[in-house]
Amino acid sequence: MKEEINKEDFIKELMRKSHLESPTEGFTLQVMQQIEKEVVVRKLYTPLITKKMWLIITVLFAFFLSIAFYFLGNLETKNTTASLFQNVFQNSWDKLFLSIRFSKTLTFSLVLFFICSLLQMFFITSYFNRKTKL
Amino acid sequence: MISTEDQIYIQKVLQGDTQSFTVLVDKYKDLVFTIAIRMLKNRDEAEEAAQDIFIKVYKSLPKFQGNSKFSTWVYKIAYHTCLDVLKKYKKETLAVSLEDYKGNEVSELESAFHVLVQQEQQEIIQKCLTILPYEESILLTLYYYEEQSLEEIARVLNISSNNAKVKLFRSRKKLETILRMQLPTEIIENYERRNK
Repeated sequence: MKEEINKEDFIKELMRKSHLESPTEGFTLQVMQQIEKEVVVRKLYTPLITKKMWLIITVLFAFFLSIAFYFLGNLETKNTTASLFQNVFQNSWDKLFLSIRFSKTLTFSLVLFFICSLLQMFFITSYFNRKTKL
Repeated sequence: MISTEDQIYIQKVLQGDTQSFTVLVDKYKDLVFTIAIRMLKNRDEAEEAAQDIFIKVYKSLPKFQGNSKFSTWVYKIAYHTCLDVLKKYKKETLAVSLEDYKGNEVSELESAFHVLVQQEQQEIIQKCLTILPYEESILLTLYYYEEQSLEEIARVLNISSNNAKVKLFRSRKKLETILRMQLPTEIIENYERRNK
């Protein structure tokens, strides 16, 4: 037991006599320069459209697309066998929209408008990303 | 659990004051560099790894929850970053056998060690710590130099506290073995003869 204590004291003494290694003088400066770069890159790469916005856009797009399909279905397949979308919307809440009538042209333009908007967003985002790339 | 000083600077960095990170780098750079050099056994590689470690610390700072000491968290990142470097370059680690160990001769070893002048003592200790396998070397540095508890060391090395205790015991033995091999043979023999 005494021998173990002696050993521990000796190792303690050895370790106290050891010293920590130090990096080169400009170490902190180099680290900080790299961090500054990191901060700049992080700022530049902030997405133009946040994830939340993408979610809202997707929901809106899906909503308008469903309406478009529903009304297109109504106009084209009156009293014919039910299509997939008709099956979905032929539940009780579809009565809400029964009084609303959209022309085919309006429906097509709405769908086209949203598709174009999404494409535009994609192109604008990639354009800015390319422009801001270091 | 974080020291108030560290906490102040961490908060400042998180609020966007990047320059406050300098204080944290200055405070921990020596130990982080020591961990890196003991693991990688090369100054240039260790310096590069130490820079990566601080960048990782900076990036992960928002994830630091304060469940452990900030230093423990930094050392853990340091240890694992260096492990990745070792894996990447498939560096072989030196194994020291405990078979050569003669456990009851610590007094002779101690006396032989004290014959050396202070500078020689320091040089020999540094050499022994470099030869010692990295896990043991880090364990001893954190335990005796940084005065970290076994629980904190276990967290850094990702092992259980009991395992850390066992490893600490073995590390002491290994350090003694290496020291015995590093000390001039004449001094050791001289002391062994005197004690017979």
